[in-house]
Amino acid sequence: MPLERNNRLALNGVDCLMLAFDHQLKKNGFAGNLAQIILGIDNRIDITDFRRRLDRISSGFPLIRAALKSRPWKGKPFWVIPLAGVSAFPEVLSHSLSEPPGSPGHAALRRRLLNTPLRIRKGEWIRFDLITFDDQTMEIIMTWHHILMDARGAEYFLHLIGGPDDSRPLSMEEAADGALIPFQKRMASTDMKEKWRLAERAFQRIDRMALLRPVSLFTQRKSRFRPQLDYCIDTFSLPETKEIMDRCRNICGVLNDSAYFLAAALLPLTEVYRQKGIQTRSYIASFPIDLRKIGTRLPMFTNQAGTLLYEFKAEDLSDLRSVAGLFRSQTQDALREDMLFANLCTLELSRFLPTWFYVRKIKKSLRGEIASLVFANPGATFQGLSGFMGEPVRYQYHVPTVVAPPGIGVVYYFFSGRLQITLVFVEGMLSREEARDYLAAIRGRLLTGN
Amino acid sequence: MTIENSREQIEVRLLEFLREEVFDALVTLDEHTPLLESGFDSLALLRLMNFTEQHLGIRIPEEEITESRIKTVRSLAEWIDALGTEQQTGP
Repeated sequence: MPLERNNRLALNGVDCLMLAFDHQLKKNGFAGNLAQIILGIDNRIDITDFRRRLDRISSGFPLIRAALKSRPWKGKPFWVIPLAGVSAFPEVLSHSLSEPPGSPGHAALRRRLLNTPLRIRKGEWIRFDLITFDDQTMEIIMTWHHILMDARGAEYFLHLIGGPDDSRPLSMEEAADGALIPFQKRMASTDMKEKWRLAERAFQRIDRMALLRPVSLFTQRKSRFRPQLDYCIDTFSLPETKEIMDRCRNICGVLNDSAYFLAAALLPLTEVYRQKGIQTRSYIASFPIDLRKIGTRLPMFTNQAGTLLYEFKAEDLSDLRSVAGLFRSQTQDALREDMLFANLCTLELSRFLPTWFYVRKIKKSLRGEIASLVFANPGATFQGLSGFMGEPVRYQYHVPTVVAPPGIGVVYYFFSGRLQITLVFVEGMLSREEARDYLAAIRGRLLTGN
Repeated sequence: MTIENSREQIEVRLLEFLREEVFDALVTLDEHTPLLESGFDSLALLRLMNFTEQHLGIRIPEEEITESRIKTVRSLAEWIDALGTEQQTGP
C-alpha cells in the first residue's frame, strides 16, 4: 500500500471531489456529503455480537478513524492513519420504534438520521443506527462519509461485518489502494503536461454547456429551503422489472439501460420545472461511472468513480426514445473523446488546490450551477449482502446525499432481481407529495416506454 | 483493419483487452464465458467498441448489436471478423 511518511495516505482526485462537495453542502447548511445503506431484516440480530464483529473489522482497518489533513495550496490532502489506540467510533446507536415499519414516525427517524452530521474532526467517518420494531423486524442503517469510500466500497465493508466470520482478511493494499484500476494505472503513467491538456478539454466541454444556461430547481429559491435532505424509494416487483427491462431492450437495444433510465427520469423532471414555473434552456445530468473492474468491490476505502456530464436542450426533451438516443450518442462521443479520463485529470489536478476551488470553477463555468440532476445506475447491489449475520436481508436501499445545487438525484439499482429507485431531494424544494408524484411519473414512463 | 486479422487473432486481442481493462482477475474469462451473465455492461461494451475501432480498425455498428452477437468472446470475435471483411470489401 502506498503509505507515505508518517503513516499518511493521499486522497485521490475523486476523494477530493467528494471533499469539495462536502464543503459546498456545509456552506449551505447541510450535514455534509454523507451516504447510507439500509438493510431490512426479519429477525433481530444480537447487538452485542454486531458490536464484536464491528470492533474486529474496525481494528483491522484503522483508516476508518483516521484524521484528514488538508492544507490549501500546499499539497494534496491526506489521511493520517492512527497506529494504535482505541476509539469511540464507529458508534452503534439503538432506536426502538413502537410504530410499524413504513409509518410516519419511521420515515421521520430515517430523515433525521440522514441529516445528522458525522463528527469527522474527531475521526467519525461511519455510524450505525439499529432500528428495532415491535414486530421483531429490524433495520440496520450504515451512514458513512463519502470522502472515505463510495457505495461499492461501503457495500463490501458492510458485508465484512455481517458475512461469515471466517471471511478472508484483506490486506490494507487490497482495501485502499487503487493502483490496480486501469484508469489509475494510466493516470500514474501520464505526464503533467498531458493531464493539463486533457483537463482543459474537460473544462472546455463544461464551458460549451454553459452557453445554454442550465437552471437547477435549487438555485433560484435556495433561501426558502431548509438545509435538509429527504428521500422516497420505489421498488418494482419481479414481473414489473422484467417488463421494464424488456421494454428497455426493445426501445434502446442491448445494454442501454442507463439511457432508458435517465430518459424516464428526465422527462418528468421537465414537468416539475413547468409546474414550478422555472425556465431553463437546457438540463445537465451528472452521471457517475464506477472505475473498478467488473467482478470486484475492491479497493474499499476510496472513491473510484469517474463522472460524465450530459447536456439536453429543453426543446429536445420530447419522448423517451429520442432522449435515450441523445444519451447514447453523448456517451459514445465522450468515450471516443476520452472525456472520462479527461474529467479524472481535472480531479487529479484539483488535489493540489483548496477543496472549494474545483466546485467554484464548475459553478463559475455553469453560472452558479453544478447540474440539473444527479443520476446514477450502479446496477445490481452486492450479492454478499443478501444475508447479514445469518439473517436473510429482505430489502436493501441506497440513500446518497446530493450536492446542492442541483439538490435532486435519482439512483436506480437492483436488489434481489428487483429494480429500485431512490429519489433524494432538498426538503421544500419538492414537497413529499411532489416527490411521490415525480417518482410515480418515472414509474409510468418506465413501464410504458413513453 | 489489416487483412490478416483472423477470428483467432481477434479473439486473443479481445481476451487480452477484457482481462486487462474490464474484468477483475476473480472472473474466469475464456472464449466461452457468457459475458452478460458475468456482468458485462453498457460502458464495457462502449469501451470495447472503441478498442476494436482504434486497435483493430473495425467499426462496430451500435444498431446491429444483438445479445447473441455479444454472448461470448467467441461469438463477438466471429462477428467482428465478419464486420472486418465487410468493411474491407466495402458495400
